[in-house]
Amino acid sequence: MGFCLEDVSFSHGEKPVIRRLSADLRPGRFYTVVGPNGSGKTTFLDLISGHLKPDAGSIQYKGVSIDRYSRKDLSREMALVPQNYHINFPFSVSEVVMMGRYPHIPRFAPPAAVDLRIVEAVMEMTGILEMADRYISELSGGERQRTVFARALAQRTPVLMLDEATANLDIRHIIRLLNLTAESVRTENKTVIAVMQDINLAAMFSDELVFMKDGGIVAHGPVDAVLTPDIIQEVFSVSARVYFEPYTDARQVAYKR
Amino acid sequence: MSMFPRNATGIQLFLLAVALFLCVAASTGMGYVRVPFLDTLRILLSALPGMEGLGDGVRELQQVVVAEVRLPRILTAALVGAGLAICGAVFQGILRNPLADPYTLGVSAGAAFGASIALLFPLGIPNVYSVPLLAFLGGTGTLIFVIYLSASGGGISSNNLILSGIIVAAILSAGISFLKYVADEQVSVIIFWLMGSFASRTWADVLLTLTAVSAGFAVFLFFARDLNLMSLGSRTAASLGVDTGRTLLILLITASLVTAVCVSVSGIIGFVGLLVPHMMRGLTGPDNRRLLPVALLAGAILLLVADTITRAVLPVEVPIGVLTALIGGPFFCYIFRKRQMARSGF
Repeated sequence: MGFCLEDVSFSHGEKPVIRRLSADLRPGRFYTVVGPNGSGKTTFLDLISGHLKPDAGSIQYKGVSIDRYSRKDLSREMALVPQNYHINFPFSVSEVVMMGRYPHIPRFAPPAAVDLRIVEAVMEMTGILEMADRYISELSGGERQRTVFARALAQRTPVLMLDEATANLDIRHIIRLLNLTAESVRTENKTVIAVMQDINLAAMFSDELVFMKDGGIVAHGPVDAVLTPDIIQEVFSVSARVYFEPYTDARQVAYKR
Repeated sequence: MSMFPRNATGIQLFLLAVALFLCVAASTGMGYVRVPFLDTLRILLSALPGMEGLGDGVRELQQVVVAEVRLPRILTAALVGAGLAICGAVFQGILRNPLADPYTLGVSAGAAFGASIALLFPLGIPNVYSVPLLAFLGGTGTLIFVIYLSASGGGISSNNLILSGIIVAAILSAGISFLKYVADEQVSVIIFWLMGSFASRTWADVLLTLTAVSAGFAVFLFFARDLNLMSLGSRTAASLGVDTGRTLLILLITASLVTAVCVSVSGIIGFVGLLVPHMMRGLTGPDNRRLLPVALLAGAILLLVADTITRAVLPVEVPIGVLTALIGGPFFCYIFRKRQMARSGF
């Protein structure tokens, strides 16, 4: 009862971005979408989150067409960590994380005790508690990214979408946040849909990989089934060797230079 | 951990409200005919129900000067300052740019163009009505055209909006120059109106501005939390439950309407919409729920003081639009430069 996409197409003006794409995404799974630049990964996220409307085909969430949900309903169902961007206004870190509670707080009401508790908890989890009072406009790219990540966690939604959410982080924070995310998939039955460039990281943390190319899905399935040299060759046009690495406990890829 | 470090807003609002009242009372007494401060207070308070007797001891000339000449002007100036300041805050939030204001979108230029046409070509209705009407039509017409120019399939980007606004404003200011050129001997009317002035405002102007500014303020406050999210980008705002397209449209139209009314009663007064929200953000932080009320009062005080300076302090009355531009312009350059330096810092 997660997402069900059937024959979805979408164009930016004349240019087709998504072509007749079909997929089923179930709760309790960590999906990672990989593919070359411009293959339609971000548009795919925008479509299933209802931010863009498909030109053709249907997208259902929990058995109901996505355009039947109001924005408010959707914000209680799915949270998004967008690609890193600059914020011009000097909101404090704790204010930004509190924004993740807005979907649960009535328009003119102050945050309740439970909201404050959740905000503090996610700031602790993401390691940003000590910069609660700093301004988001003054943070480094990685610190800002962790703040936005914490905001999405504060939303407490069944679905979490990560759009290259770890691209600006150092490896310690990447592993910390992705462990946190994978943990919530197992314990809270969350659906995670991530877009990542790093296939080795994707293989370490994901249950399933979705390979996209030219707006369509080339291969989709459990990591061990679809992470193969042939598919990497087909999608990225690079030669690679795929092997099982006991240290990461996952399939890994080595590329030919 | 302090979740809300800036809870001083209540005190700030109270102090600003007191300051505004004192400014109104003080400036009412200032001018060619001097009115003692206590007499001013008595005339002001005698307008309240049950207090009619208070004004009895004051000379009639002073009563007329205060009630019919100065108060309409003073209140219009305060209301226009308040309106421009909150519109500036809203445009800055929507455009995700702390340096945007009604002028960036070409709304003011459009309103000024409409008003110039009303001043130049008699439409068979008095200027009191035709100027605001055409200013509003010009302002909203420009806004619709700017949105049309900048809209692409997926939505409206703030960069496109600013660029389109600047292009359209440039065309409109050429249009205004053309109108001035063909205006012949009537050109002085347009020139003086465009430079901005609160001279000879009436209670009708006060009422019009009061209606527009308070309605606009109510709409802005209702959407203040959504505006916070919009200022972080439309994708973020949408993922946090804001119907971004609808909210953007409502806020843009309301802000243009308020701007058009302000321009129509006062002419072009620059930099208030830009500087007041920018400076107040230093006090309240960027949260629009706190910023909007504070900017409202601060804008009213600023423009009232500026108008009183040109009216009662300077030996010759300088057009208010010229005064705000002469003071605000260099200040804007300073802020802009500071931002550039801060950016290049990392």
